[in-house]
Amino acid sequence: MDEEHPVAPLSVVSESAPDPSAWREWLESHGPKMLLFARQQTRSLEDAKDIFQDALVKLVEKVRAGEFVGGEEAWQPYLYTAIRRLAIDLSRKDDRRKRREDNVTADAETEQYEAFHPWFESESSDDETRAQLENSLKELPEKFAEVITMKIWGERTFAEIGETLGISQNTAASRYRYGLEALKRSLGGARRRGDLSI
Amino acid sequence: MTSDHSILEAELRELTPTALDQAFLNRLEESAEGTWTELSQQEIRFENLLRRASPAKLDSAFLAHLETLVQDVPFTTVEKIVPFPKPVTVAPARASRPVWGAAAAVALIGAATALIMPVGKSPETTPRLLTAAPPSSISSPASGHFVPAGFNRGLSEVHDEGVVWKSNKQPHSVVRVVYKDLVTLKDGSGRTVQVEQPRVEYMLVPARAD
Repeated sequence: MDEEHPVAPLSVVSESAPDPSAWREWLESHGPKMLLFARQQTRSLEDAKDIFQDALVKLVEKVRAGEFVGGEEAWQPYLYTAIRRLAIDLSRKDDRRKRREDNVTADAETEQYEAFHPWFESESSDDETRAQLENSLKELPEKFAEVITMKIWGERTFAEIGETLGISQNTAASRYRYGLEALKRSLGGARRRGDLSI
Repeated sequence: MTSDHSILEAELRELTPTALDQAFLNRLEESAEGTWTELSQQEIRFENLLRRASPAKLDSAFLAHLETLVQDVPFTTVEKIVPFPKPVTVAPARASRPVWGAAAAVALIGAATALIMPVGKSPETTPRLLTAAPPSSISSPASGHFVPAGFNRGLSEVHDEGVVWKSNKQPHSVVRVVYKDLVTLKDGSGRTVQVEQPRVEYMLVPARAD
């Protein structure tokens, strides 16, 4: 006997607001911290822009295909993870460390270029403070700097950072504290001299 | 090369691992207690000082380029499971599960009865209660050369329509049963015709009054 069970059918409805200004607003709001993280993960602004762009494309392709799990609140964790993976891939491909050692001139040019494209807004603190902070961050071991960047400017929790980096939240907290201590020491001299406003 | 490591082992055993420093002990303790991820007031103050430096804005060319990448993508995709509206039914006065079960049993008995009854001789004798049959859908007309080859009474839907009280004070649940009958006819050359007919029956099932 053929039977059709009376099951209430379900439908999936997508609410969409294809307003380009909404994307622009989102990018203006969250793009700077993503790019900062990408710059912390790479050696040049160009590389940082490339991987940020690639990460964004990965995200929008998933959103477009309806494969992305979660809403807008899940975009940032996804992008942090994607940026980090892409940066690792790029680093492996380029072997930039060796190339930098071989080409001191190119390195100097990069530094000069970076000086004109600071990591932080100049309005938010005086130039001396900004430059000192940026240098201190760059000098930190990467595993500390990435946690600090995600925690302070990315406003991620230790649990989220741990998820992105594949470590426990306690390890993330430990790295954060090591990093803060190192930054304090690095900035300490400048603060004592009164060069810094922080 | 000698294999006697006993002297070396003895010397190594005399070495004592360095004791854990107080800071590391505190860290282990706080990790075990789950408070290691909570920042102290001093750490929060320093964090806030650092946060005063805000990341550099995206330059306008890069921002415009990113915008072109996402322009055809809906900004927000919120997936919601939206059930279609269910048929409006009168809430039964008593627990409906036994009533549904009884109705389903009655429907199944009816279907089984139909299977053993001769088809085509007296279709009007098929036991029916209050029948409100929608127009039948016939996939192909049956000619006189076709003979019944199969019958299938498909139980499609069962709805509890509520309770009615008859004159003898006995409450009855009104059950709406929707069937989809399917008759298969065959002729001598093996051609098959299927006739499908939806059918609705209302049944009164005695309900308990307590």
